[in-house]
Amino acid sequence: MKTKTIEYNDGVVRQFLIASVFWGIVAMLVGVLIASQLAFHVLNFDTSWLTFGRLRPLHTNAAIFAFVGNMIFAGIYHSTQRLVRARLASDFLSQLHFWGWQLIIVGAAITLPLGFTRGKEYAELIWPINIAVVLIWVVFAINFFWTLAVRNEKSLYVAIWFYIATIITVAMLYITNHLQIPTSLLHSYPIFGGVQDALVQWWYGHNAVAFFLTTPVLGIMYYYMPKAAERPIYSYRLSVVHFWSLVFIYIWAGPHHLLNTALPEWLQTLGMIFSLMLWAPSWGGMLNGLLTLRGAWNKLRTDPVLKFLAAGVTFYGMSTFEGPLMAIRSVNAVSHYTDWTIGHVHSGTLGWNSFMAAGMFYWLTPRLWNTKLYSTKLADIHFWIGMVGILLYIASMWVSGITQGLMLNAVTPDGTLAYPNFLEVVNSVRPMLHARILGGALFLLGMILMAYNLFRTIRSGKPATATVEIQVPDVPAKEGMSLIAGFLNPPVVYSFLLVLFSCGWGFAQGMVSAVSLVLLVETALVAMIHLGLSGKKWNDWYEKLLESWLPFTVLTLLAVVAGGMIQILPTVFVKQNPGADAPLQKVYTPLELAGRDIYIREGCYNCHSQMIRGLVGDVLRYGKSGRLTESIYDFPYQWGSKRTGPDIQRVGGKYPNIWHFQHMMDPRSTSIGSVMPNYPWLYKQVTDIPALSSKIRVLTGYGVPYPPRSPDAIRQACIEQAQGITGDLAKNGIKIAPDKEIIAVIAYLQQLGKYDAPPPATDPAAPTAPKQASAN
Amino acid sequence: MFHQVEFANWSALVTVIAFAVSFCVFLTVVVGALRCSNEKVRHLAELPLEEEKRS
Repeated sequence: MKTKTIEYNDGVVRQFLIASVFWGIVAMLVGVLIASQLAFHVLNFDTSWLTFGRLRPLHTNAAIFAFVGNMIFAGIYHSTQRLVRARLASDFLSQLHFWGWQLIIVGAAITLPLGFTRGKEYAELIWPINIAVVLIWVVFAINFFWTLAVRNEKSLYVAIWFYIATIITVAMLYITNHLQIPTSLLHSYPIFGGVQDALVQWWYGHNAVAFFLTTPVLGIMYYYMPKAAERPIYSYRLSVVHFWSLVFIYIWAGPHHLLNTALPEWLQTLGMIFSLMLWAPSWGGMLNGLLTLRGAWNKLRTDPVLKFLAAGVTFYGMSTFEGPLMAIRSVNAVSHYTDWTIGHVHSGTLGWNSFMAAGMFYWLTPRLWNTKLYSTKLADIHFWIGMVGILLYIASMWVSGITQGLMLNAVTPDGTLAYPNFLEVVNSVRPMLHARILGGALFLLGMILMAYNLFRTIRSGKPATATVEIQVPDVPAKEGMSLIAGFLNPPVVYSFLLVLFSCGWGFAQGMVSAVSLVLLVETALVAMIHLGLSGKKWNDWYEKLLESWLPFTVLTLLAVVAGGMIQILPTVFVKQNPGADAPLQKVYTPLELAGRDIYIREGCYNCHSQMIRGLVGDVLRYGKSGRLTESIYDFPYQWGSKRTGPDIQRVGGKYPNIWHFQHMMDPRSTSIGSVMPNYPWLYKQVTDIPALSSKIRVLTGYGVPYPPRSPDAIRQACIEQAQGITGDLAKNGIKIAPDKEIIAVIAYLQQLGKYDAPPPATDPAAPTAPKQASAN
Repeated sequence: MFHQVEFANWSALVTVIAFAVSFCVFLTVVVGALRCSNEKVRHLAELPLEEEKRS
């Protein structure tokens, strides 16, 4: 054995910490602005890049990827080095990771307000930035796993497992949901459309919450909670169960974002059941975190770090209780598309993520700069201001959301809507919108106090060099277990055989089923006898697994891929058999397609859904419930997730062109009390007709049955349709050139809900919808 | 026999197999963890508590 001194790379941790605080304030500042816009429409300033639809994606992306992203990178890099007793493998990769990530954030901050978007929530960034994200994530993964490979501590602590799950799952989710074909340098269409896109999107969206906002922060909890409390985690074995059950269950729950929609019923049920199952591991983790404070509760009075961490973990418990509750179909009928969801999301990001970040920052900063915290009192004030802010925010959104849900679903005894005017609902929750602004502003104030406190702390110290002396063997120890050995061992082989024979018994028939049953029982008996005779070896296998990151990573990947596959693969086939009576969506004309892309650019999907659920309130208000085949040509899908304004799936033909023309210029001229922004630039900007050729080419490649047309023919088709609309407007005394963007938007809106009549159902075997592939 | 299976059944088949594979991993590792030696668990639980020198 020889003594070795390890000097940790804390420079990059300091960089990520400062970046997180800075971007956190930016994200919350934008959040307060857009919350104010929902209450006071004039704050949109009639300026394209300041409107709600463009700034809301900036807020969400900044909060998730800039604030929490930088925070988790700081926590992962700091704790991993200590837990594996090794310096980060590459200083160059660490710097590349930091600066690359900041460049991505700056790119997002520029492109999103300018309207460059993919039109999918939390996945709005355009394709060149997507590629940059993947590359930088790979840099992060290499740096992380390389550090594991050269570590000096054999065993992998549970926090490292959560980091491993984060890295591999986020990569899988991000790449799948960002598969796309560019139509230009700044625009692309996703390869999935309609229900496929909806499902992939929420598989990604839900698990972005799970594996970007939750698992890495749980890893951080499992490291910093014991550190701050100066005692080990309450139950290490419980943390193991917490990890595996979370990884196993979380990945399946995505469809709960699409309850009561046209999504196949079995998928909705699957999402609901797995969401309910999440209660157990989430609360197991929360209790494990809180019980770590046993015997140290008195410190909560004086230590702001523990205060933030304990409150953060409590909010984790609250929001993971609320989430499954909202995933119950009947509760979801009230909560979905309302402010309740917004409140739920913020109890997670403000209560769980931001408080955990604050606790970690207050603990880390004095140590990273070798000094004392500037002001404990100021940190206490931050805690209480933040706490009041969160509670005000969440409570106002509960009241607002439940009010919206109940009013929109309310039906009179004679079977009509109790509140037929949507604006009545909008205006009834206005006081709650004002309370939300106050809550958000208080939380932002707390963040600013923290930034000041940390700034003064940093000024009072200087960057510290952290070292640790360790004993290492003269000959480096080998990895505990090879990848093959990780799988070719009794526990895994027996489990696999039991699963195989169970499937054979359940799905096969006759002799195959009977033989499978016999083999199942026999294998179970052999496994039990084998375990009794050589149980010690089985234990050795697991203990070696804890020291072997590669087999461990592959097992984690297997668990999440299995859950992902089930949701994605069946829907690839679902469109091929839509049913004999399914109405088919009409293919967009070139002008309508141009209008649709403007609709997406302006972020209209942030406030308007295009999916009428099979609920009485929805059907009475908006018309027949949506069918899968009515959005098969939507790349991306536009079902939406929030109704600040009404659903517009069947708005086509409901109002005359003049109504849309006036409504987009000044929504209050047609809808008194509306909170929608004005869109004056649509009346000046010219529709990008030349871009349509490549867009149509890409969509044709996806199977949308466009006839072959030259760019001139596309232009001509646009002009003819636009002239029809301008001619109609002229009858009402409005003169506008047909090439203006508002004309394309009107064309798109007037097409919504139009579909071809279902084909006669004479031959059940005959295909009723074009296969995507066969339409190529 | 699979050519006779309706789409909905195929969905169920994929669901059950995916669940089984995932559950297999879950059971294996959780049972393994619960049988892990006390020494190992204590060592792991105390890993975050090690101190370092700062200058």
